[in-house]
Amino acid sequence: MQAREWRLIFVLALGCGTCQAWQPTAAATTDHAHGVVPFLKNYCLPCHGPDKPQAGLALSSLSADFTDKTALAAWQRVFEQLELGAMPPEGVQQPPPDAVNQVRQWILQEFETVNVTPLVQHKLRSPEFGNHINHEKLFDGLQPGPASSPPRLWRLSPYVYDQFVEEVGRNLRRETAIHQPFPLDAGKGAFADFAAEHFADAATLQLLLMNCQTLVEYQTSGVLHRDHEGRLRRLKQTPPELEEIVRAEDMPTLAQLERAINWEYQLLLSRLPTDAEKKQLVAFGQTAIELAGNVLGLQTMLQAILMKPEAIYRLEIGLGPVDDAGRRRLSDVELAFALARGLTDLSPRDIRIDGPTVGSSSEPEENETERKDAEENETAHTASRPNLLELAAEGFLSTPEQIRRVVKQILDDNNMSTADYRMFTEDHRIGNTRVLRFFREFFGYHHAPKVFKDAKRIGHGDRYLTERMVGDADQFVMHIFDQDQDVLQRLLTSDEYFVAYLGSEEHIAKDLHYIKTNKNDANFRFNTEYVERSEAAGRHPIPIEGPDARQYVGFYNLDHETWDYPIEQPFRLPSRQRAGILTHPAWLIAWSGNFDNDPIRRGKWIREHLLADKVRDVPLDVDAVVPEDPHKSLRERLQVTRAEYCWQCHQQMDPLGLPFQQYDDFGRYRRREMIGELLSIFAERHQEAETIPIDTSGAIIDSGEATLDGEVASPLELVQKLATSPRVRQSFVRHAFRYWMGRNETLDDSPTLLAAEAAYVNHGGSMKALIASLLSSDSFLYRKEK
Amino acid sequence: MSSRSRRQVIKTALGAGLSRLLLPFVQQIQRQAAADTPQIPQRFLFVVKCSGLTPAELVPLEQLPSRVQPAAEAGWPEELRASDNLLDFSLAEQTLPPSLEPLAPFRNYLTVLQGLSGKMCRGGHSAWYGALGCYHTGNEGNPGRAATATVDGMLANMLPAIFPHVGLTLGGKVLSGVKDSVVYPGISALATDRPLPYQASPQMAYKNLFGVAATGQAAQAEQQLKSMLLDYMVHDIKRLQNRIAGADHEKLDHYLEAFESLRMRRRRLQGLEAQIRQHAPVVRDKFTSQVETDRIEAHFDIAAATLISGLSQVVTLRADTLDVTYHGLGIGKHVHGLGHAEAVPGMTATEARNRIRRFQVEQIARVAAKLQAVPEGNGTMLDNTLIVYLSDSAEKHHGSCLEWPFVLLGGLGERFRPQVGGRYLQYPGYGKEGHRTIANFYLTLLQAVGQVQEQFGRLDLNLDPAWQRGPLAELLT
Repeated sequence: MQAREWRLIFVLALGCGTCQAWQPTAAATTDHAHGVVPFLKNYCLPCHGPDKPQAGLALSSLSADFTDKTALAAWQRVFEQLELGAMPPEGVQQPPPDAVNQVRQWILQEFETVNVTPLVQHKLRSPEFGNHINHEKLFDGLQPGPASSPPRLWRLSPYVYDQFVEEVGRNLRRETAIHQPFPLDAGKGAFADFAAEHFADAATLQLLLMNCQTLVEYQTSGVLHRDHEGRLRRLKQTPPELEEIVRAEDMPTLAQLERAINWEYQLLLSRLPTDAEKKQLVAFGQTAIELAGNVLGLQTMLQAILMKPEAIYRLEIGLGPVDDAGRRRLSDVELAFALARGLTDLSPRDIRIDGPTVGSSSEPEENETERKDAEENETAHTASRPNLLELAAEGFLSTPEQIRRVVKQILDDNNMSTADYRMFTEDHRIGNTRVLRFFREFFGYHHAPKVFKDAKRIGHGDRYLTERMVGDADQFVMHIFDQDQDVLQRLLTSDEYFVAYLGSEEHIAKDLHYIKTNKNDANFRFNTEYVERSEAAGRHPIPIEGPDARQYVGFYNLDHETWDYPIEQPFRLPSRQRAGILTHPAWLIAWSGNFDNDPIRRGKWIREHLLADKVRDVPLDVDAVVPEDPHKSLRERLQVTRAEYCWQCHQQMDPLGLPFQQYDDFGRYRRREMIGELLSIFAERHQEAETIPIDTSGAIIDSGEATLDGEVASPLELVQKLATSPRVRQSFVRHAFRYWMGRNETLDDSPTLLAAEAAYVNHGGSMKALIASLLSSDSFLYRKEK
Repeated sequence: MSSRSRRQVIKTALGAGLSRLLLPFVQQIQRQAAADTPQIPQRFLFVVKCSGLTPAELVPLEQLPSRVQPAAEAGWPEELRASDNLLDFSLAEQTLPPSLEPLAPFRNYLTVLQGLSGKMCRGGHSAWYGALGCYHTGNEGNPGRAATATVDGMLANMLPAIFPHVGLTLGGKVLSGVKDSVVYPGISALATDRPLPYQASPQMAYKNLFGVAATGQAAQAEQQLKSMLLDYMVHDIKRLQNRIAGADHEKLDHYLEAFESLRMRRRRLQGLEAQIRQHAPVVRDKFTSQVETDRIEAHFDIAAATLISGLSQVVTLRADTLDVTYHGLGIGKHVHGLGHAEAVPGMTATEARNRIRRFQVEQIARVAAKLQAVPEGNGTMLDNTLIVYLSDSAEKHHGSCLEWPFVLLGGLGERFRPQVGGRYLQYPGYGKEGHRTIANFYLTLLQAVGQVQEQFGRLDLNLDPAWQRGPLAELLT
């Protein structure tokens, strides 16, 4: 009754422009309510009053009765604006952050009383809404925090699952019917593995059930497999703990069942079962064995372990101690798993770290010495190093400093290849595949093979060619990551590239020998002639088999016939042609269309990924098609976006994307643009084609950083400007946050972002310091329900 | 559930910000709500052969001189002559080609569909998911990504059954040989990145589908173990739910729902034991035989029994793969070799290919006979079941996808009725006015079961987009 009373007064108070009569009742109802009316009056009513309210939202007659649907909808809008930091708009008087928090808390309480979830929270869970939080407020240093993540269940990634299956049996996935149950939808330019996005549903379970059946057969009776010659073979790897039950003629003993359960738990969850779990499983196993015998009964019991929800979802509930702010810290085991999954696809049991008494300093020289020691006596050293779980259990992951030391060591170890990337990474000495996936998903260059270019334009080996470019780009970004100095700036501006590099001189020599001796290859004669021709001219030949395949270096404007292949890479491409990943053919193709460049999406990528800005979706009433006219350049045809209605949004994108007209849609540097016919990679077809000069001008408009705004003459000038911008750096930090936290940032995460940015800057542009800062932050370590 | 209460469920669920994971369920209720009268089920059997379905071999003998031309190279199958306009005539007065002779008793249910293209797909040995999904994916050896649902997957989503989709196959990926387990041939998908599994072992397929009808002690124990496991998992998840309170409870709910739906399926199966037992195929030696033709026959038996018993309304049967050798037909060369025109002792490659095709058509005829023997509504089950025979490499071993022939047998109730005496329908050739694609055909199937949409899969960029929209009006009544 009391609440109902003050709600009525609330309406009147706003309506008559005074809050004198309202305050005492409200204060009696809730602590946070006290400042709501003055807040709305001072900061909202000037634009959202009774006369011509902005955005059609009139707050003057807003009821505080949250059971009223109209009022509830309006409060949803108010809460969204406050949560995103979008209101009040820039240029008007801003409320103190404490006051905003107070109002947010009050609205949240009221939502709870009517059992309603704020709609904005649904939105903010999706990767595409990442930039909707106000950038300036995230970095103004005024947001008090404290930061935390919601308690959550994070579905296994496909990479972790692959790694697990590989552990159970090498090549098992290839030779049996085990299928990936946890695919990620890899949208271009978006992080795929967001914690809130992925569920295990009925379709997942169907696959899991079949996989588990195969796995337990492999562990007990064997899986029938037909080899390449059609012969039936039985694949089997049974540990002693299971073998003794399989072979027993009688009902297994309690001790035997417990040993089997312990073994499977350790394999799957890196822990022993609790007494209660063991008791339940033993009872289940005994019933199953009584019903169907030792083998089938044991298989069913093992399946029950393999399908445990903990084997599907990693639990990040916060089982550690509670602090004054009501946040629960991750328990030791949770933290060990969180770090292992944050940095690798391995189990924490398989990640060994130097103990705190060895190598506790972060000086690089000492780490180098340790690595050399490790190489000399690898086995002994590995055995003496505790794994992440042991380290956590011994209390050596208690402080942020300890965690940062461990993170740095894992990243420096650079030995975390996974099943998914094994071939490539071993050849190219790329270890940190989880970091590599961050770069791939952030820049999106790995989508190049998915952009279809007609065979008439690129030949039939398009995917093969573009996959090679992606490999080159992987090496480009990971080389910069390993050097760990001015990482972002170098990613955007370095002219040191890798092209067809095989990782070492030995590997190059090996492949060249193969090419020279592989008489079975249809192109053997062409290959050997090419190699002989090159060597006779004193050039290193490209170690690629097949003249068509070698032509791919043409995407870098290198002539495959006359190029002297550098056996040490990276090497400098002409610096006036390219700088950084945005001028790499892989990125340019990934962000091109089927038949031409795509300045709009390239501009949109820069706007969203480097300027932390948001671009609205194409309005439903717009038929967004670039007009066809073979006699006009793409820039000319894009003039349609200059119409007033279109330009409101397109000015955010087109001027950022148009400088990349410097390259064609195969990523090749060009001085003139061909018109009148469809471009292909076959130069001989275009001898007579009409060409026009290239216009590479563009602009950075309304970036949120005044010194950054202005016109640019070329793509190189654009990327140079972007590379030195604090806003671009902050945008990069925000995206790194999303990737490693598996969620979008909120205003409460502001201290985490500031600390991560400071760590990056203070360590000379160190990405490793940035990651270590994120993984030791409150956002990573604490859990609290919103 | 009455249609009114169904509507309420939908409204409530949508109002509560329903998870997208539940949407198919809601759409299913919506479709059920839309139907005021009980409907006779509509069923589909897709039979997908490898190495191409030769268009010239589907032309009635009287039409051969005008419709068929020799291959550009000697030793290769004759080719269909592209038509300038729509050819639509009855097969009543025509002589069926040898391949289709086994279908003569079902002539009234037969439609030969020619002239469609599928250039939005990858050609070669297989278009993979593209063959039933209309998009470019995969490479020589691998299916690539299931970019969207294929037509059989979409139909499975729409036609509720205990098993929404049943996949049966002889082998796995197109270049592989006979398999014995669950495989992913890469031709069917339920949704994006959701490839549909196929059972390669007739014995395992029988166990999964009709196991509930098994009467032996060991078989019953196995069934009981499966039920026990599902019960245990449901309790295990509930225990965890209690332990972690409200954190991310939706995710555990989904996992729990998945187990409960499987449990429900088992219970529903148990409730249908008598019906399933009645229609279950008789297990003979061919279910465990290593001879390819035996296994194919066993799979066709399972397919027919699955549809008749109502366990599923959508079955896709992958009839063979390129590494299969038809020893049972006296052909000592694998299909791949025959596709490359390698001769076999005693017959040419073309003759061997014809023999294989005829064997597959005979199996289709056996299924049709079984369906026709079951009365349903005013007719038989064959009136409400459409068998679609095609190849995932379109018209030849290395498919160009310029031609993509289909043989249709059966009907879809009032929506799709073949002409008396059979029908020959050939659309204008590629790029000619009035040309249509396989996407139009799949839109026809979808429309026949109430799913009206404008476009299916990706467009062929070299064709007028307007031609690729909507169903083949000629097929719908």
